[in-house]
Amino acid sequence: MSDSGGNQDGFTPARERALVAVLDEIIPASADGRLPGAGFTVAAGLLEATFRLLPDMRVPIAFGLDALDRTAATRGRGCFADLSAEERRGVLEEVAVADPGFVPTLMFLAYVSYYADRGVLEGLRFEARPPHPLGHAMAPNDPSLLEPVRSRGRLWREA
Amino acid sequence: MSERIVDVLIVGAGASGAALAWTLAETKMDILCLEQGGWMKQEEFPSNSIDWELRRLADFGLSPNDRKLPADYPVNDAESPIAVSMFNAVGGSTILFAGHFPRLRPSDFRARSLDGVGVDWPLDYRTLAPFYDLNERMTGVSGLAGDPAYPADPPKRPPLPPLPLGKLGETLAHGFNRLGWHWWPSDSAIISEPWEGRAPCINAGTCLAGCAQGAKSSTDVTYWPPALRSGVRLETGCRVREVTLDENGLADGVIYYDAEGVERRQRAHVVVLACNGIGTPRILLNSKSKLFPDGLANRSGLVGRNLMFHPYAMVTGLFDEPLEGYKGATGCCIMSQEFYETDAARGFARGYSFEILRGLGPVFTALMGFGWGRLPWGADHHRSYAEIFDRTAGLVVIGEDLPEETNTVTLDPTLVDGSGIPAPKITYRLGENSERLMSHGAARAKELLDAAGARETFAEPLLRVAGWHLMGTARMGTDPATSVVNEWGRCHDVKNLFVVDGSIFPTAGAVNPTNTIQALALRIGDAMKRNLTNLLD
Repeated sequence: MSDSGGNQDGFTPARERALVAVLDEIIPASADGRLPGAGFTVAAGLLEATFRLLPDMRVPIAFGLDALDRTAATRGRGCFADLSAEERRGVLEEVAVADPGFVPTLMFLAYVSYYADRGVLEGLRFEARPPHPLGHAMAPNDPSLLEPVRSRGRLWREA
Repeated sequence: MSERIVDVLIVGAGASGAALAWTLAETKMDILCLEQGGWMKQEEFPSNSIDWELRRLADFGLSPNDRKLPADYPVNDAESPIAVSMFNAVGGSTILFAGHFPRLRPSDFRARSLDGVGVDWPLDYRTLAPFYDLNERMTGVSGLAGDPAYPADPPKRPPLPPLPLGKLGETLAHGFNRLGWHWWPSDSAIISEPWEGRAPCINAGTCLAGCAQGAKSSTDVTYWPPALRSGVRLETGCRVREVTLDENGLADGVIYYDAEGVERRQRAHVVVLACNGIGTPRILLNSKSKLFPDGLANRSGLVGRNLMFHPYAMVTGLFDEPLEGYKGATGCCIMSQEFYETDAARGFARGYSFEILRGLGPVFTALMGFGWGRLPWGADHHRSYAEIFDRTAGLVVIGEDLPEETNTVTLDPTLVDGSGIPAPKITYRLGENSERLMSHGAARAKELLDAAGARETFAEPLLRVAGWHLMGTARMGTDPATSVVNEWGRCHDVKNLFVVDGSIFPTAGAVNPTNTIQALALRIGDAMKRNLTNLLD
């Protein structure tokens, strides 16, 4: 069970286990192995970096993780991380109904952390680098595309 | 307390304050600008980091209510379907703007005469054209001459060639051509070639998070360097609370809080407000006195009224092929003015523009995909993501918002900023004309995306985050009973108090306002220069 007493937004080992498990549920590893499950973002420090930028997310995420463990316990199955994949989905759906804001917040957190990771971008075969200073090369415009517009004549009103 | 009396005190170092400071600099008057934000550092912009998209949601977010930076002030926009977007720094909101730089069109200055709605401006397109020209040179506008949506006389000739359309832009251009609709490469405040010592755009696609390249023409890299070289002084971290009056009812300076939070006073012969459509009425309404119990320069009762946004709708198309949408200036690609002018058959007055948005980066692809219900969690996530990544193109509808006195900026009774100054409260609803106009625009946007080959579209009928154009709250006009300032930006009620920002727009048009804001500031500055000897008469 997560320890929530007196530690509202701290990420205890129990909460971290639940977080890894639920992130892997939201974004599992790809079948071809190119892309990891989102749970890796916890150990990689990506989530912590996100929380530093978006500190208001800590408390609702911590409360939701506690709810996952509590719900798992009511089913007599220990904590969320110990459940099977199918059981996790059931618990997650139950918590999503009880706390409608939790899953969207969790998915937001997962997405902004996961899709900013270099390894994930490489797995997507996307350039895994900051946009600046290299930018991107683009082809020059084709002026003939505008011929139909030029041929229409003026579009403004005399005033 | 500072006893030094400056000749001209400008409040706000954004789009209009910078342009005015620059044009007045040649007079060698003692000019001081107070800005509540600081200087931005290009090396600290998000695009230097791989997590740049995340920072667009945090310290480079559009809303001051989300960023909560020390330079920001909160805005109560709970009673508005459109949330306020602004930035506080040297350069103001041009730091985060997309750089779209169109002009208003001739009919925009005559909405009442032509269409029976809104009010006429006290000047016309031809009068403002030379100042558009000057502003476009100072800014380094990229674009293409010959747009049939604008008069050929006087000509509009952007000084730099247009930005690349890219695969995404060309795909949508074909869609416009299939429908026979107008489109044109955007006039962009982003330099496509080296200009005035600045390096050109590298198509990084991160414009809305600031431009680390310095190619986007925010005023910290355009007007401010020459203005400062010419002797204008700029003090940052200074948050103005109120404009003060002397015994004759003339503005004699401001009270502000410096970077350490210490209350200070700056005296001036002329005070200019350049804080845009929310910041300016906020200061005026905070400046109450026996002479002006309802706020400074507010005998008309119109300070803070007639707030106009440009309502935005966004329709995104999902295509089968990759569009390379992550390449290129985020918002500057194509503008269409097919539905700009009034057509009574459409059931609404005035009109709207379309602007193409580039595609989404990896993070925003995921967030938008989730919002569209197209990105499930679980085993299908990766397959679904692959179906949308780099396959989206957006089209925004920018509607003309008509002035309505019930759309207001007032002072919030309880909310204050970090200095204890009352914060602005927005009360706004979309008018019936705007609702019909936006509905028409969203339907036409879908039609365009379909014509361009989209296999699916997703519509947001009213984009909440899009409150970045702030206009009308200290409107200009010839009649003191129905306007706050005259055509020269001078307050009817206080003859040495000027307003030069978007507040003075009588109507909004349906294009991004920054070029017009700056052209007006240059015109007002030009008039001040020509009338130095009798400025206070």
